[in-house]
Amino acid sequence: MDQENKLDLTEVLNNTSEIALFVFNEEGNVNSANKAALDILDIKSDKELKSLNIQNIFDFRISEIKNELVESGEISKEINIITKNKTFIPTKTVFSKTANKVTAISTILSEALSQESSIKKLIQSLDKVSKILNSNLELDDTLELILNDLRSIINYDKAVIMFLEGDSLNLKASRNLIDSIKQYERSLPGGSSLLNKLIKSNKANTDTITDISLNSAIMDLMKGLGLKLNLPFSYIASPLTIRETLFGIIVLIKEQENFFSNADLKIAETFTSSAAYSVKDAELSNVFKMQLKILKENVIERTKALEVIKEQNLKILEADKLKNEFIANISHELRTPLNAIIGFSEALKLKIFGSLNEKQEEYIDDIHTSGIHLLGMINDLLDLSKIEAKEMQIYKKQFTVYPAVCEVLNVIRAIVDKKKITIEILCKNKSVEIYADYRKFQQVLYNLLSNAAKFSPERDKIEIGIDKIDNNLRIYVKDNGIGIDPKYHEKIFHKFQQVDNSYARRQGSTGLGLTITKELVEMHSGKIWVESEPEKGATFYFTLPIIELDGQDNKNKAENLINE
Amino acid sequence: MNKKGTILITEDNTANMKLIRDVLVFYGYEIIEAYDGNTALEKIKEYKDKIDLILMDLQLPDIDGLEIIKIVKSDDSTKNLPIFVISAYVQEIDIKKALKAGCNNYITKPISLEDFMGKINAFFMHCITNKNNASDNTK
Repeated sequence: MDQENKLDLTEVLNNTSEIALFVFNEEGNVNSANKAALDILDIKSDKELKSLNIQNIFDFRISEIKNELVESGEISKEINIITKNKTFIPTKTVFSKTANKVTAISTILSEALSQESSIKKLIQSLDKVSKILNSNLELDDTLELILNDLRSIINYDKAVIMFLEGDSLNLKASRNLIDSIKQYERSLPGGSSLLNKLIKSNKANTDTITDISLNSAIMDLMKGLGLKLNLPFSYIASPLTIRETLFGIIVLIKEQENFFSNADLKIAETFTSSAAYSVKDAELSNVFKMQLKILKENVIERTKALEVIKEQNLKILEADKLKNEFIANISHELRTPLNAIIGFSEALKLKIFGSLNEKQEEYIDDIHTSGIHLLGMINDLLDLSKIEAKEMQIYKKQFTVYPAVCEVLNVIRAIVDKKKITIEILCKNKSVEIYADYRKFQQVLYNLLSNAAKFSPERDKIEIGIDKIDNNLRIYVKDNGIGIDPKYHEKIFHKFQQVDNSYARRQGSTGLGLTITKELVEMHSGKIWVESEPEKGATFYFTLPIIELDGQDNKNKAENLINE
Repeated sequence: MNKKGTILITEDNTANMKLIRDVLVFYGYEIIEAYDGNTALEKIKEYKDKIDLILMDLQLPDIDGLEIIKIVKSDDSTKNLPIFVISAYVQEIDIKKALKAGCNNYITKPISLEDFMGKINAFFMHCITNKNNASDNTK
């Protein structure tokens, strides 16, 4: 009954392609085999089959199991089948002995096992890839991670990752070969065509190289990288692609023949195609980082530039300080000889040491006037330098305007008398008071009056007007001189600007008078302007706010009084 | 001839010394000259009872005029000697420094002789009035 069943089973097995079936005679020679068995052994003819012995087919001697087989009649073994080209295929084989024959039923383990492990590896690799994808690493670190993870799945010896950049194939990461690669060999020109030879239709491929002289793309790559490999070696070339665009390659090398299985190839392909995204990601973020770096560098450069500007500003301030110190010193140095010039000429003018003849008197007068004039210019320079250094101090006090104006008239008299110019004051309210710097107020008026006198014809009249308009004191100085073209009305208040240089020079002037006057008025929050036309005289106006004293001002006033 | 008073002039510039000296002599003052700070201090020590007024330049070859003022004003035997500064330093800060050091008046160079003599004469008039008042009181 059993025998019959088994025989029936034999019939069934004959037709399956999954399970190999061999029937041996007592000598161990093959009686018959099913198609699956022939496929595994890779033999085609019956004659070939018949020439085989059980010991040729399985990798042990039948004697080893014979006793067991005789005793129990059936034995199950994990045993390799040896193919025609000497490949060992692991199987689970059940041997059963009947009267004059042995039947072997083999399930190929290798396929089952390797498939199972492939799936495991694939899951493992996908897991790793997803980790890489989710990591936020720099490009270099990503590539390192890819090579590490691949190594734990596929047991390669050496590996390279290369990117196509422009037309060059550049080495980006490697395993176990970096020391042997020279700097210039890390970039392979004309890499685009090489890459296209290595990777066809964006598919990963594997092969074994046995002959060094073989003209293959992989050998070109190895030569390009200056790599010498022991033959034979196997490799996997797997593409890095984004949206079907090939941008790089991962090459895995094992110095063994036919090392990589189809499963390895699939894993490598899956791995690299997924990893490609994280590589690109990292590369992109690298670009951003680079831009960020450049931006940072720009900021640093600008900061540096700013430092330089600050330094230069300091130098300018320093130079300005030196200039002001120089002017203060030169003013002192010029005054000393001027003291003698003005003093001695005045002594002669005063005739304290005897009288002079007319010509001598005239000359002495000229020396004295010139000295005074030089003094005026020195004073102007000193004033302007103080104004520019913001060192000009204002000491305000309450005073009545009219007497202050009269005092200036006494000082200017010497000049105007010479030209026989008369000065008329128009003042309705002689008790108007103002809170200002007394001396600077007088300086403003003096400057305007001396200007008017300078440009007035002889025997002419200068008019001074004093008015209170709202909360402002307005004073004007009107002359009938040569007048000023409106296009110069602004300019004359600027430093060293005069209507007509030659004329002004003839009159002798630094061109600073009106600039200083304007500054002094503005230091009091006042305004100054001119109304004039050529040949129709000029009227200079200035206004100063009449400030009602509050507590703070009283305090200032008190302080100023103490200072004086 | 009865002198109006004795004035010590401290001035390193010969021309300026000559100017001030000659004018003051013309107006009847007796003059003691010092061309540097050390000489000035010596003369002050020597003639402290005779000197009515010190005219002091600030920039001197040896000692700063301000230092001399401080020395004179800190010595009990000389602190009552009036000092007029005559200087080419004209900035407010210079004037303040000199006033702080204890000078009694500050005249800027270049001087106007009329103005200068006005100040000197006024000072001595004031002195005479005070002396007369003082002698009146003692009577």
